[in-house]
Amino acid sequence: MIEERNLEIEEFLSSKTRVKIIKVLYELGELNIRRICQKVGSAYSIVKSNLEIMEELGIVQCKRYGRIRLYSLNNNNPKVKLLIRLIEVW
Amino acid sequence: MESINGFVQYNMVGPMRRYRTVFKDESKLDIAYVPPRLVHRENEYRLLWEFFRYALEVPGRMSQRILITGRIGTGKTALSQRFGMNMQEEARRRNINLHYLHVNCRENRGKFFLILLNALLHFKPNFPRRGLSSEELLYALMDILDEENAYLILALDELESLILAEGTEPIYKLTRMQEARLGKPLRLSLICILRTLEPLKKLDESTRSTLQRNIIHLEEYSKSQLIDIIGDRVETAFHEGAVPEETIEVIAELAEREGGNARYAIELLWRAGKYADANGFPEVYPECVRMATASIYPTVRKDEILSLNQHQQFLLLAIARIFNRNPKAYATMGEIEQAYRVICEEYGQKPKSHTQIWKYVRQLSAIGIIDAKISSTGQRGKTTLIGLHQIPASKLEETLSQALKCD
Repeated sequence: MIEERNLEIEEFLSSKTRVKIIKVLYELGELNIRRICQKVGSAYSIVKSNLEIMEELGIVQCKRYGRIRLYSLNNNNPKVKLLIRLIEVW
Repeated sequence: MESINGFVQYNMVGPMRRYRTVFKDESKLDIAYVPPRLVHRENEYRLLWEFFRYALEVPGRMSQRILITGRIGTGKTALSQRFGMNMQEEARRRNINLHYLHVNCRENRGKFFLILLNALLHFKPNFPRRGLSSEELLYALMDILDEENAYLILALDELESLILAEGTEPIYKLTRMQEARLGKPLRLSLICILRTLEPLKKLDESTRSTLQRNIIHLEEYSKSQLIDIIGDRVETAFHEGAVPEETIEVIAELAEREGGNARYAIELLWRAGKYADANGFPEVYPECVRMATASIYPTVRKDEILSLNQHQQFLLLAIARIFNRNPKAYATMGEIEQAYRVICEEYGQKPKSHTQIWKYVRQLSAIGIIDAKISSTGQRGKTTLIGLHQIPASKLEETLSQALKCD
């Protein structure tokens, strides 16, 4: 069980990469890191570290299929629901 | 749009003539169309339901492996697909997450990896296409089925291609997969569709016996059965009275001669309708059928040939030329390579290597356009012998020459 870290909202939303990741996962569902990198247009290491933060915050979840890891939004998290609403309204 | 004498007339804009057609709904004659009722396959359909009844009543307790065999055009694909559609619907009614997936092994070049990827993409459309071996894909598929509490009936159509391209290993893995998942629900059932049981001889005995427990063999259609099948399609695809009885009879007779091939009959029916439209006939006369027969190869579809890549077409043209000029049944790999190089020169293209040509031969053989076998006695050394049994060489040469000219 990953321990949830605390991050202020302004700090969380201050990263363009994180916002883009949320948008991409919202539009496409489950993706592996390579595809997220392509869609977001950021380097692997940047996307990976941001995904780790987002996983710790419970914003995204990761499923493993052998060596493949697929990331998706954690729709059970009320913060994710609000973030999605924000994207839709924007 | 107006209707005169049962025929629809379209008012075309400008100089185009008023167009009338014998068709009511052409899509009912499409090769991919699966009729709601399979004429003269009711018993086989019921048998298939019997085999899977338990899977619906107690899901996860038993997985099935069924073989459907029969010659081309005997309704193997349609039977499996209709069963799959109805099975999914029945499962939905019972709140069982059951999926039927029909994969054509030949269209996937007999590659186990591509077949499994198809299955995975059905559940996870964004699953990466690279990075895992076939075995890992199979495990990933089982994980996904567990995660979604889903059951999959995987129909492997034209299984011959898979066995020819990859040997017995994929079938072994698919049938033995469940054994490695002790205590977990049985989620994967197989329907294997193939023409004869011959390719299964390559399988090891235990896999073969597991597979051959439930076989549904489809006999060739008789002329009277073909008449019923054609009649059924005429009703849904043509305007009333547009296809006379004698036309149906001619088609049934021709299809019976092609080994009771209903697919051939339906394609002939569609093409005959097209000839009727092109000539402005109010009905599909038997003469339209005669015209149509000249443009259909009984067992190989023209679009299959045209969808090959340029060098595969060169190779096929080389084979066609050899048999067009020589009445023998088989040509050696050397002869074909030589003719292929001449064609490459003719079209100003660099010929592919021997290994690549050999791969093409295997692919064309897997598709069923050519027949490839290893030479036996009477020939020095071993070579691949290539035959062309399904299409007249002259027709093939003509088709390919035209296609390559267009390219």
